[in-house]
Amino acid sequence: MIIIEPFPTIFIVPTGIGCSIGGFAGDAIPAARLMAAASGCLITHPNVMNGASLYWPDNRILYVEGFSLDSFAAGCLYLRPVRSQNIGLLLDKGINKELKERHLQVADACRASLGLRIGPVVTTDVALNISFNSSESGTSWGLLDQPSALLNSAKKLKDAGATAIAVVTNFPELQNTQSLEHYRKGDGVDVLGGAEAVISHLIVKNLSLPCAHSPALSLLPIDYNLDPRAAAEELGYTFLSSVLVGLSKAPDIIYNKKNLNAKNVISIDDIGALVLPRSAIGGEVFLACIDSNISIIMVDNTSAINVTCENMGINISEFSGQPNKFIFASSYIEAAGYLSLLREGLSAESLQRPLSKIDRFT
Amino acid sequence: MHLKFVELDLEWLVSKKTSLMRNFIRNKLLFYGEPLRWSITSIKKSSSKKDYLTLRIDAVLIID
Repeated sequence: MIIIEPFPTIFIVPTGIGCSIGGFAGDAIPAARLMAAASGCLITHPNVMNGASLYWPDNRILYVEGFSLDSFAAGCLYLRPVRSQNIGLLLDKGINKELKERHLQVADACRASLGLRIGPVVTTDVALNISFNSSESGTSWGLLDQPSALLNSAKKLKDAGATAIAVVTNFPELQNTQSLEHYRKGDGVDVLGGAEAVISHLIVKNLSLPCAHSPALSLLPIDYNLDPRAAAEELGYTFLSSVLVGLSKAPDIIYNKKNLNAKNVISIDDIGALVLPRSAIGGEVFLACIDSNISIIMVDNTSAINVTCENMGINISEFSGQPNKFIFASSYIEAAGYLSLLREGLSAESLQRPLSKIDRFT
Repeated sequence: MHLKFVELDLEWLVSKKTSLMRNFIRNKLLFYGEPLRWSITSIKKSSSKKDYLTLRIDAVLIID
């Protein structure tokens, strides 16, 4: 059997911008699985892989929080795949007693039924008080009143031996809000996403541990017009199981790779491609990758924003020395084809017609 | 420590290399606080400067 070397690829669906694929409850997981199959090694973030009660563990997929992904792309850190993480569970004091117990039961279920290493559990000294925000551009953002309390509790977990942190915070009730109604019907932005990202970014930035967030929300009344992409959030009492499964094998974050076995450490220089929505290229990862040899595959996947190569004024001819630098794909199926092509080392023009004659210098 | 959400409009010369954009934005944000999470959320032609784009940045900053 011939084994083809993996073609490590970063896959991004930005959080809180209402992407048609990936803007809901883990509805980019099929795309991630396809990209993982095509590349053999996919680095992606919790927003892609968390489907509330649903998850899909895949050894080819590395679960990396957004702040560390930005820093990885900028060459500031390395990733080291692990067999398992010891997940500390951080609970917001603002969560009510019954909901807190539900989350503890999910942690126990993941220990008993999936064999995950979870514990200890720390509850913050004060309620974190999360608030939502929506920008003029239509994206969701959020803040918390007590960032120091969050970090103090996260540090306690790290000091107690946690190598990854799952955070559960109380989120303001969304019932009967117009934004939730739109989201459940499939035409809105995930209002929680922006705040979730801020919470996990803060912990990763300060403690350099893998981290992901799960919101604590009361059960919603049944919706008979629910969009299938939002359906995963209706399955249970919590969204925690996908976070715990994702973190259980999240790679270590390494700032100094001296004295480490270089074979086990992934750097940005190992990355072959970046796949992201064509309408949302204005994040740090894209901007950090633009001056590298990484191929950038931009996929049609509409969102609330329109930040494209074209309106950014990128002169693609400047990159004529890199024939596969910018690739436009109309779907993730097409993007997977391009990843396979790059992984095989094929020239895209050889599969397109008409095929022009070779350039001849006289 | 507290967190602050800001929306900033930055003027960007179209002819500048895009690879300089990340540091340009980060340096502008540092004036207001330490960037925790940010992205460009819209791009328009500048209404006041020829050959410039107006980049709208949404950012959450850490203020010590």
